[in-house]
Amino acid sequence: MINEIRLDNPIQAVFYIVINFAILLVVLGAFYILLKPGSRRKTSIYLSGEGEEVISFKSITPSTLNLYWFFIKRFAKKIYEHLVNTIHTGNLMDWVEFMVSWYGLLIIASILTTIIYMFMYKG
Amino acid sequence: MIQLILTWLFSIIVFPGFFFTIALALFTQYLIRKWSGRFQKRMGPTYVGPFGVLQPLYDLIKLVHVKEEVIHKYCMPGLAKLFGLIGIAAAISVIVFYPLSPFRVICDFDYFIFIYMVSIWIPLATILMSLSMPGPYTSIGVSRFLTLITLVEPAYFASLIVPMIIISENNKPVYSIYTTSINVINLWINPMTIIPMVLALISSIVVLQAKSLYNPFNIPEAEQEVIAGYETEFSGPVLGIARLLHDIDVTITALSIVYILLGGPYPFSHLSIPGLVILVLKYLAVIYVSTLIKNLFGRYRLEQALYTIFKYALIPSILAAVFSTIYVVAIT
Repeated sequence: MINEIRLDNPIQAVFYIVINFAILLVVLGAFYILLKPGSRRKTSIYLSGEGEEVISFKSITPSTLNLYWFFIKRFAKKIYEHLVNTIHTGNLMDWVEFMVSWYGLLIIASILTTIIYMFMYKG
Repeated sequence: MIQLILTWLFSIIVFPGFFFTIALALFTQYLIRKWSGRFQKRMGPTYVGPFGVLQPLYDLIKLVHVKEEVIHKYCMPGLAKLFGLIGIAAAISVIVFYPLSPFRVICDFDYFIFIYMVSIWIPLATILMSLSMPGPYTSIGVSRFLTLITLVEPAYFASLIVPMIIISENNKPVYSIYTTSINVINLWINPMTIIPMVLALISSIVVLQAKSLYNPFNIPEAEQEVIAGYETEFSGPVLGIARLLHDIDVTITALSIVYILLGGPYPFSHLSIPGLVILVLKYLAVIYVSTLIKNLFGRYRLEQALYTIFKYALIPSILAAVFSTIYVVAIT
C-alpha cells in the first residue's frame, strides 16, 4: 500500500521531517541503550608520545579562524595572489586589459540574455 | 487514518527508514571493501556470514557493544554520541522524499529541505562529534574537513538541482525529488539537455567521492600526516557511530544520484522486476565507479584536492545549472 502525501506548503513537509527526525532519534537512542556499551578507560591525550605539558587547553580547542585555516591561508590566498599578480603588476595596461575583458564578458552575457528574453520569452 | 500512521511508522522504522537504510549502508560498506580487496589482490571480508557479507554488521556491534571506550580528561563522549545519533536521524528522516518509500511526502521545494538535512546536519554532526573529543590532530582533521565541505556541499547542491530546473518548468510540484525522479529519464534522451545532465553526473560522482572521504579526497583522515584526523580520539561506541554515520552519508548521497540524476527505476515501476533490476544496477554502478576511483588514485594534497573539486565538481555543476536555465528560458 502506497500513501502519497501531496502538500501545498513546504512548511508542512518540514513538520513531517521533524516528526521523522524525533522518532528516529528515539529509536536510535533505544537501540544504543539496548546494546549497552562496554567499559571505559581514561588515558592521557594522544600526542605521538609527548606529554600533556607540550599543549594547553587553548591549543586543543581551535578558534573559528583556525578551523578555516586551510581554506583561507591556502586556497583563498592563492586566488587572491592570482588576482593581485594579474591586476597589480605596476603596468596600467594589465589592469585595463583585465577589467575590459571581464566587463566585455558581462556585456556579451547581458546582450545575449536580453535577446533571449525579447525574442523567445516574450514570444 | 490508522493505516496512514502505520504506513508512516513502517516507512520511518522499517522500509526504507531505519532498518533498511542501516542494512543498505552496511552492505554498501561490504561491497566497497570486497571490491577494493579484489582490486588490490586481496580476499576482502570473508569470515562473517556468507561471503563475509555480515562483516560490517559484526564490526559495528563489536565497536558499539564490546570495545573499550578510551577517553582523556577533555573528552565528552556522551555529547559525541548524541551528535552522531542526531546526524544519523537527520540522514534517515529525509528518506520519505524518495519514491522508494511507501509513505511519500511530495511538495514544492522539498529538495531544499532534503539538502538542509543532508548537507548541513550530517557534516555538522561529524564536526561536533569530533570537537567533543578534542585533540591537536582532531583540530587539524576538522579544519581539513571544513575546508573540503566548503566546496563539496555547494557542488552537491548545484549538481542535483540541474534536472529540477528543467523539469520544474512544466511539472508540478516544483523542485520536488519525486517529480524530478519520475521525469528525469526524458532529459537523458533529449539532445538539448543531455550536456547539462552529463556535467551534473560527473560533478555528482566527484562530490560522492569527496563526501565519502575516499581516495583521492581522504585528506581529513590522512593517517601519515594527521594520525587519523577528526577520528583520532574516537574509540569504541563513538567510533562505531561515526563509521555508521559515514556509511549512511555515502548511501544517501549515492541514492540521491540514482534517483535525482539517473531516474531510479523509471520508466518502470518499483514493484516490477525490470524496475527493481534497473534500480539495483544503477546503485551498484554508482558504488562501483566510486570504488574504482578510490583504488585508482592515491591521496591528493589538500590544495590539489580543492582545485580538483573546484575544477571537476563545482565549475561543471554551475555550468550545468546555467545551461539548464538558458534551455528553460529558450523553450518558454
